[in-house]
Amino acid sequence: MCEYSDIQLIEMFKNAKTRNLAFNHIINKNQQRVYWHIRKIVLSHEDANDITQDTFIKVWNNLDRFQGNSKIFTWIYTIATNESLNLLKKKKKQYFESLDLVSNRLYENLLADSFFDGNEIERKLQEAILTLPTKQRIAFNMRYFENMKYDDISKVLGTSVGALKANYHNAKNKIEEFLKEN
Amino acid sequence: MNKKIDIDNFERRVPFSVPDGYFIYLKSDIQNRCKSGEKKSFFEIFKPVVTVLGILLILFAIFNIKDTNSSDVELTNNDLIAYIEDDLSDHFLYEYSFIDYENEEDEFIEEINYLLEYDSDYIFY
Repeated sequence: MCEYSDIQLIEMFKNAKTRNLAFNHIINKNQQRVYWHIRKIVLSHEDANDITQDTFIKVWNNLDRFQGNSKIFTWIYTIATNESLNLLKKKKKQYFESLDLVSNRLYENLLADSFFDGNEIERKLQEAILTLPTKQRIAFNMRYFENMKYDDISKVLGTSVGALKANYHNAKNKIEEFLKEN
Repeated sequence: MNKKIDIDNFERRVPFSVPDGYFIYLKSDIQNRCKSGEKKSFFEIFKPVVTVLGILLILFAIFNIKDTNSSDVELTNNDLIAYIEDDLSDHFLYEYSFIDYENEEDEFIEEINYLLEYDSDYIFY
């Protein structure tokens, strides 16, 4: 499959004749990564599926206005993160809970989810990660599971690299402490 | 012994799965939705209608409130008497218990005139 740069993709997208080709290429390149990023936030496959589709719909509707100040992948990740947070906020309103108490509910749903296939240690790790505040959890997942560079995480979350490093170190300690006690 | 746990030593596997062929169908689902236009919620579809109705309701409410605040409201005699009573009670202390209000409007006015004439602030009967 031919590789295109972000600039080429944006130009192709703006051209009506090559728009679909550009978009197909963007989906092929990013859909799995975006899906798993969303899935780690919302945990449920059904929710992750909805949000992933909504994310790419927004990409389709707005890519011609994309300024190119960041990588397309970072921009898509930002949309995906915001959509995921919006869903969690809706759940918070639905259950009249704080955003972090929603995480407890997510964990309960996770255990009942047929698409969870982790062993005991992985289950405990997910439980520990869910004790983190939501944004810290998202940042931790991006670094720990996806090995994303701090620069890229910084662009997605709008947080400084220094703060992210400290945040990650703090999250790691919390998780390890939780695992030791449980 | 409290063994230190280091999650950097864990296998960094995401313990979630997806239905078979999911990502193949995902791509076609996204493409189909893009072709048919963005999926809209009920509110998004009827937003213009709801907005216009809302504006009309607000205008209706404004004009109705404006009408009820008009100065064409009529005051009854009882309303006027009640107003005078309130006004006078600040200046006089007296007992009304023996006065029959039902048909003593003229007597009441006579009473007021008497009090005004003698400038009494306390009357016993």
